[in-house]
Amino acid sequence: MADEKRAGSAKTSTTPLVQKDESMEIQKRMLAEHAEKLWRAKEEGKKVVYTFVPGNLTELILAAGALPVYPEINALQSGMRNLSADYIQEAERIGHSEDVCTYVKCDVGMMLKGNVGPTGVKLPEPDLLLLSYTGCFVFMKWFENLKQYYNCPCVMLHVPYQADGAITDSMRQYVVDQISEQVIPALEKVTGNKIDMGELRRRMELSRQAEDDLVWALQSAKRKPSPIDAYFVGVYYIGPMFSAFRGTEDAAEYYRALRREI
Amino acid sequence: MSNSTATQGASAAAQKAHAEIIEQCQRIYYDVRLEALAQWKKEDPSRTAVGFLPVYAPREIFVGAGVRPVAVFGGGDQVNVICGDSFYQSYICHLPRSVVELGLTSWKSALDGLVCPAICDVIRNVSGVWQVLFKDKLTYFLDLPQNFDSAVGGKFYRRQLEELAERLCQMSRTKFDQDRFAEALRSYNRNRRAVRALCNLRVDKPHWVPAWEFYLLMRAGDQMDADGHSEILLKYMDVVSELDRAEQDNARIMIVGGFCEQPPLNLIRTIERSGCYLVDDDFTLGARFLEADAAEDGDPLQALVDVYLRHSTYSSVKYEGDVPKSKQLVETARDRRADGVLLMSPSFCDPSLLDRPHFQRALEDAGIPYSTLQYAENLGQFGPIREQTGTFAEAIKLWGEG
Repeated sequence: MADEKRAGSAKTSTTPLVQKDESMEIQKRMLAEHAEKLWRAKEEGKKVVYTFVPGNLTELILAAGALPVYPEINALQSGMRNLSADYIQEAERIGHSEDVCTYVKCDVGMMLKGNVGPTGVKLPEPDLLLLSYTGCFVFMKWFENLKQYYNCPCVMLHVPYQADGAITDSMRQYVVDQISEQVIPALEKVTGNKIDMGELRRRMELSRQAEDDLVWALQSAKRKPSPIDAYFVGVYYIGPMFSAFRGTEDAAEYYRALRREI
Repeated sequence: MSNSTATQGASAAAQKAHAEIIEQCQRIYYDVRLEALAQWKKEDPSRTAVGFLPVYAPREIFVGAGVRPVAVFGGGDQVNVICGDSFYQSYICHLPRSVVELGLTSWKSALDGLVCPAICDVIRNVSGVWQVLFKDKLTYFLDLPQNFDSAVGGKFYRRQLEELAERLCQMSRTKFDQDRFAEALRSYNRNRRAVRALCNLRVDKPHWVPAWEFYLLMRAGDQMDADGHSEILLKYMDVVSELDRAEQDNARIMIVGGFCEQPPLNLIRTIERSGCYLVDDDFTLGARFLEADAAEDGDPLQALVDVYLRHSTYSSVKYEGDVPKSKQLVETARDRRADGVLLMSPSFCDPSLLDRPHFQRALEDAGIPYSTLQYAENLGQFGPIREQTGTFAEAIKLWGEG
């Protein structure tokens, strides 16, 4: 009882000021701008590519002039905002089993209920599903399902599993062949844009800069005391790099700012 | 028991031959501890045998490398899992638990290695567990391509097969024998033809081929060489034509979803006894994975690659590409003249369960009745399933178009 009182009074008397770092503000702005771009995508004739986070090819999507959407992130954010339960129930109503991944069900349920994303903005339907099958078999099934709901093309990148912990020439060649023979042509066909290798190179260089700074930030946790809390803020740090912002000036700037702060 | 469906009018010779076939198949089916295999190896210590998990592995490569291929499906309802459970979380299917259990106990002297085909995350990670547990044995993760373009996935798959052959030869200390490989290719072609003939027979005359007998016949191929297995299948087809089995007023049912973890034999019997003829299923799908012969002229390795890319069956473990699996499911159901489809998945099976929603939708659109159920390999309660499938069969008979 006493505890409740204390909690109550703390809530009413002094609302603690949320102190945000510059990098947090940058990331917030980036996310808002990306949501805005997605909201206007159809109106502006921009093509939309749904893809997965691990092994994503965002630089390539952006170089083709398309916008990426990550169903996993939508599911994650829906979970964080307590929106998932209804979506999961909706997916189970149409035959999804209780036994399978709730990310899939959350995304499918969200789509069935109007595809309004976790930020409240209606998401544009995909023009292409880029199935980066990088180690989770569920990804493949997830997009096989979406392919039927959205009735749109799907292109797969099957990344081989390193059972012996090593990348062989054959694995590398398989990935290269898929990207050059199938993924790039599919992106070009959907967007109507020829991918400029110079632009792709520029974006990959931006990713490299961002990655270097991200690694530096994570490595800083080795110091005693650590200047960062990798458990709670790590999820923010990896956000831009693992999602829509690979290969962008914004991501490079975000990680530069993060490095300065740390 | 095996003669219970044979009529009095059948010749004693046919009944005896039938009983012998079923008995032989049952012996193999119930030998989940691979005791016969261990004995076979004991007789000649230079012999080698390597298991492979569901769904499909190219057994011809094993034979070319001087290795006996053995299809393994875990312990079914015959093994009490003790150690295996400690390797897996509660939300993982049952098959890997009994595979690990048997690996740690009975299979040590029978198997020199395990090949884990890429069909789902769980089977993939069995390969990792196996690598850690059995450092002295071969573990090979067969990364079946999900890209079916011969210049892309085909090139990768060929290299996978070459590597598998190298690893098997390294283990068996033999040189890959091209002649033996080519002969194995022909033998497995004959075997696939025999399997297809049996499948066609049960579509035409399901009362001749009870589901549980069909299942045992297929499981007998797990441990047998291709020609020996073909011989049994051909003999069975001859024999059942003489048994004069009476047709019953059952519903023609197709089962989809049990391609990896296998249902207990009694579950198959239960479904059949509840009034269903099984006209198609995907249990033990590996033997039926290739729907055409591999080319026998030219390079046998390339023939195996090509037949996989162009003629492997649709399945939940394969990326569907441009032709939706649900469309293929409906076409298959119509081709088999199935009155209804049972979507029957092992619990926690991602590939099977994640196909269920669009399978359901496609069946609804096509006006094909369906029902869904889940099972585990060690299921022991069949009453509720008998009620469910019995009601399903009756509903089809009472209100179906047939």
